[in-house]
Amino acid sequence: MKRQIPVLLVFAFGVFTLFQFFVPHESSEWVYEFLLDWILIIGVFAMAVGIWSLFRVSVEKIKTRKSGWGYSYITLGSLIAMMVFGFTVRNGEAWGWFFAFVAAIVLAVFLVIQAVIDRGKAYLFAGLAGLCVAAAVVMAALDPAWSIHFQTAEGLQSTMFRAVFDYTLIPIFATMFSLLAFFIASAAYRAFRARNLMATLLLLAALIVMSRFNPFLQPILGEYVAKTSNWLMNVPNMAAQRAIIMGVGLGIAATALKVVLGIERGYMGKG
Amino acid sequence: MNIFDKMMLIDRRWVFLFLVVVAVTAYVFPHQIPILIEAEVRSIHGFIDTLPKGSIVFVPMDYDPGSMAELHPMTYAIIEQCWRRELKVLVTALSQNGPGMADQALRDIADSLRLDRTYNGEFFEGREIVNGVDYAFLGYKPYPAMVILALGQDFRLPFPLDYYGTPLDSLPMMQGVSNFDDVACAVNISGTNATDYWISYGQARFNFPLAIGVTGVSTAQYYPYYGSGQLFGIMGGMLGAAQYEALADNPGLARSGMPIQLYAHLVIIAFVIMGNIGYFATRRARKRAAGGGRSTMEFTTFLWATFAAFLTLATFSFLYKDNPLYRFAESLVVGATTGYFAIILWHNGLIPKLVYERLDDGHWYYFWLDASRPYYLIPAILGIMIWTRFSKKYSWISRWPLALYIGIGAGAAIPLEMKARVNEQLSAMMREIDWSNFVGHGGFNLIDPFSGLSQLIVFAGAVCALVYFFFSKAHTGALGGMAKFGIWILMIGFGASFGFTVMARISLFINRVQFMDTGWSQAAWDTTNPNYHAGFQIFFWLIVLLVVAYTIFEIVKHVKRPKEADQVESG
Amino acid sequence: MRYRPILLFLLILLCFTTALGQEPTDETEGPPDTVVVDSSLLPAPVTNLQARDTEDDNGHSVTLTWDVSTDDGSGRDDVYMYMIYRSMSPEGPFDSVGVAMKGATEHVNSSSKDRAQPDFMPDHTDYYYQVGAVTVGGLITRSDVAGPVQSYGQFFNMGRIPVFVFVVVFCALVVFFVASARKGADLYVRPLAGIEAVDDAIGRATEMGRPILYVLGLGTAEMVATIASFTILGRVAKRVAEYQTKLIVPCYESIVMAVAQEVVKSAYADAGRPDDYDEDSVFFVTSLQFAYVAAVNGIMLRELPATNVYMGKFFAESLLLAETGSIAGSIQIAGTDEIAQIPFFIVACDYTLIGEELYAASAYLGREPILLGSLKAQDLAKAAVVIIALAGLIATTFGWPGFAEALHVEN
Repeated sequence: MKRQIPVLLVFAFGVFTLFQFFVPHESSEWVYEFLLDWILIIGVFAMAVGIWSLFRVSVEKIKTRKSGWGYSYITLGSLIAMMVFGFTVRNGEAWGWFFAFVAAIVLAVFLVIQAVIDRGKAYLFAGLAGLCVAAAVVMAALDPAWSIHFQTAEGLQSTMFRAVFDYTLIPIFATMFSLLAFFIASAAYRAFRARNLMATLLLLAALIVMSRFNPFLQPILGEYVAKTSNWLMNVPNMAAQRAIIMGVGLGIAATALKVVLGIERGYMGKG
Repeated sequence: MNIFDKMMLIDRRWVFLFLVVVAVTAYVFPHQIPILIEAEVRSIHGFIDTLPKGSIVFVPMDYDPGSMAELHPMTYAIIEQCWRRELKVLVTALSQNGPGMADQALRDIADSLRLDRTYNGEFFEGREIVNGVDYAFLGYKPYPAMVILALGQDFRLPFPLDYYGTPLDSLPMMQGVSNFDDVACAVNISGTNATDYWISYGQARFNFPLAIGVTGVSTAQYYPYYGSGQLFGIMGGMLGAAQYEALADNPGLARSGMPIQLYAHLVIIAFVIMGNIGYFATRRARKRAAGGGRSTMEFTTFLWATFAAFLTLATFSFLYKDNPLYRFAESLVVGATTGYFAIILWHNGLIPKLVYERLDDGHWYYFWLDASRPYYLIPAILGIMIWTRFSKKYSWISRWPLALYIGIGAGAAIPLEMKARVNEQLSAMMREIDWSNFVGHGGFNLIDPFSGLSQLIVFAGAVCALVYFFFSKAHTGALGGMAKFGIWILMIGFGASFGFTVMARISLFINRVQFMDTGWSQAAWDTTNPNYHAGFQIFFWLIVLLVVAYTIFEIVKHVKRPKEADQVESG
Repeated sequence: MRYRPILLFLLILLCFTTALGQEPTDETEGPPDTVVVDSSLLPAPVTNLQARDTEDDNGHSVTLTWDVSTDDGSGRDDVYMYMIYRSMSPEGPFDSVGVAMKGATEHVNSSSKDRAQPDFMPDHTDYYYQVGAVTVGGLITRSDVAGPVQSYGQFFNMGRIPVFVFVVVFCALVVFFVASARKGADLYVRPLAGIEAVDDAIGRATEMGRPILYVLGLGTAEMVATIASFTILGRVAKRVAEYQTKLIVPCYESIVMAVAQEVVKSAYADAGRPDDYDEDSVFFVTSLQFAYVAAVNGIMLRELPATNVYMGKFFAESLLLAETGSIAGSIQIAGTDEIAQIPFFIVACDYTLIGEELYAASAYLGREPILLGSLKAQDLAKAAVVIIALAGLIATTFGWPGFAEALHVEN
């Protein structure tokens, strides 16, 4: 029951989607589209499990006072605040008690965490958390400046939700990505040494292609650099990519087949 | 320790610092650099230029703000070209963080369309761009592969409503437009693996003309598809974008970033050469002018932008070492992104699929009261089964939906990968060898990539590289020779691909420098004031000064206690 | 001559707008070509118009073929495009449903399969078609009516037969070799450096008393690269349990996390140490790329793992992770099928599994004959690919393109 049913499910759905590819009829399409919705919906429910895991790990850090445990509050606080922003919409220009409401909810969650950690004073912290929730409910009910929307997507356009995304997440993502400019330089410096034939080939090909984009080197090295780098991209690189693409295709097909047939059950921890 | 030892063992932070100084210097003294335009970029520009008015160009913008530096210039150039040519544009954003950014970009470009412009000698009168008439923006849905497959059936299937919540059927430009059959071409601008899906699940399955604009790093990966005719054009990274801007006669951020690229490149090449000299010696012994600048900036926006600038610097501080600033940014971003993603899934996944449905008249009705889709209870129950993970005793039940999930993915992958990877590449390998041009055009030219000899090398290289992947035969004898040649080809290919990427990565840094300049300083000072740029410069040089001062401080500290450090190591 | 393209554009625009803007009541009115004109200026109609159901589709589509008008490309050479008309009865009224460029001899009239759409086209219904040749001057001559024709969906996509054959043959190969391996056939596999490094790396971590970091990449759980990575994780976790080393698995997606937890838990049980399994060793971080990188980089610099293993789908974060790992002084083993990232792993990691080697790795680590059997099948398939490609190359080069065309898949 615990092991056989999953294997059967993998087999049944795997074989169906495998053959669906060859059946263009509407009925097969309908089922396939429905299955795509399953994947989406299961993914949405699974998100709760992920958030639960993030909570567990953070609370564990706070509980054991692991070095840097204070940062866990920042993580949890920003998580809750972001979710509140995504469900609330202002009804005009005024903010009203909005930020107090957000603070009350974040505080309530922190107090619940404290109650979980400090079992001795659990009732005290749980009581305080209850007060915070009550305050939040009162504010939500009485403040006309903003309202809560769970069922419609207005929250995605709310000022705070967009602002946090534009001014907090984007700069960090973009900067994180731009660290690559530095890492590619240090990786090239560290690894591109003519140690053996293979490393030399890698180094030479990289240097030629890099210098192609440099008009200062072009007068010195002549147009052959541009042409050679073009040749390197279109000939050896093309050959390498073709072989990898085909090899990977066969590897994927073989692995997927083993999974569908139940030969490989590593994804369930059974080899 | 002689100089050669030192050349080999430079702390990577020096590489970082040097790169910053060079890039910033190049940025502060801007100048133009000539650009060579390649055929694969020219073909996209040409294709769009000759489309009849009113045709629909599909532009999936599948990238995050992280790839903005390289891809935004392409989007701006292409969409502006489309609108100037009176083509209609259909946009999706199959990347989680993309929709907001794509929406902003569309508004920006629409703003610049109000201005009269002359491109390549042709005059274009400014006009108003109308949402729903000149463009439709469908927004984001998770799982790009699934969305693309669904788009191939009908655009309304994954996107019954557009990004702004309007039903697709009530948009004038979507009348009679059902799927890929009704678009003239698609230009996928992507910083994610969605491009793979556009090729293998989109173009290969539904056969429409597809061109791509990708980050420099992935460009090399898609050349085989260009070679096999599945793509009619490729723009790679900031250089590709700069080429497109040059073709469209519409210089933007990509062209202005080119100088930094070149100098930073030189630095990297110089460092690689230095490292190798040391190795051998020791062995022997910017913001677009369009759209009408915002003249005043709200104080709150200024605060936000300053916070963004602070976070940018906090993240950069990671280059030096792990520190509380970085840790703060990291904790903040982990929490906020998880919250963001949960909200997106809730509003775009759970609600429209399971709970509520929006009617054409804009009203919402409670989904379960309607009996038309009772079978959606099945996935809902499967989703709830995942929650048995919260219990130790019943967590085995959660394996069912997981198994189903894996089964659907694995089963669909077998024929799709066989077709997109094996069949298509095999067809491409069987191209006729051009005997008439065996040694290259214009006499003997070994480095003509389209000569018969080069084609033969591609074929032989691919075969030998495949032989390298033989697992059940020892690599000896003739097979060993082939495998050896195969790994050489692989290494040359990897080297070339790496070299190609360096530029793309530097452009990311350029984007951050441009942000600190235009993005932050515009928020910080009134843009109508001609001195605002000077204000930024003062700020920036202060930072540079701080960094230099700190570096000197570290060196002094290091010089003072070299012996202690040795003792620690030997102990 | 210079104005011809402009005229054409205007004309197409006109056709589209009339086709789109027509109210149902307008459709009963006669088409515009009933205006009396000098008949000698009218273009010759297309001939031999045939309508048939579009093959290999889900229905709701009809394919038309015709021979071009004699004034298209020859004669007066003034035909610029063709208009496609459709009706439910041979007498009309005919509605314009599309256009084809000059020189075209085929048009696929596909419409929506969705009942709610205005262009819904029901299957198993009689349709009649006409093709109008359109001149630069806007004169149209319609062809004879073709039909009746019905659209319907097919149950097998004949165009995909080559793929079908490949899949069936390959499946048979895998099943055959797995079966013969089960019977005890001796199968040789050549050593792979990256795989052998895994054992040493776990030993090293144990000696140093530092943890092992396993990154499953950014793939979702239904991607085969991630599934292969789960299997490798299972092997690694089993060794880790035996050596009693600490394992850290930060996950990018909640379903990936759920599966990885099952994998690691079972591996600990298999190693006979179910109580050593720590549920928090496999945890969810966040589902956005650079936030995930920021967090994993932080973990690397704080936990200083002895070994980092990266297996699965990786994108731009590959070098960010691998360089940070090298700053932290970890031994690094990577494997991905994402071609663009392989060079970065090769440069920054100690061992890299290239492309297909990732899929072979799980078989290698297990050393179970039935898994090795599939490697033999993969090798034979590669040999077959080489032979077919060579045969195809020779065939096309010597003027027989049929071989390559037979393998080509249209849709």
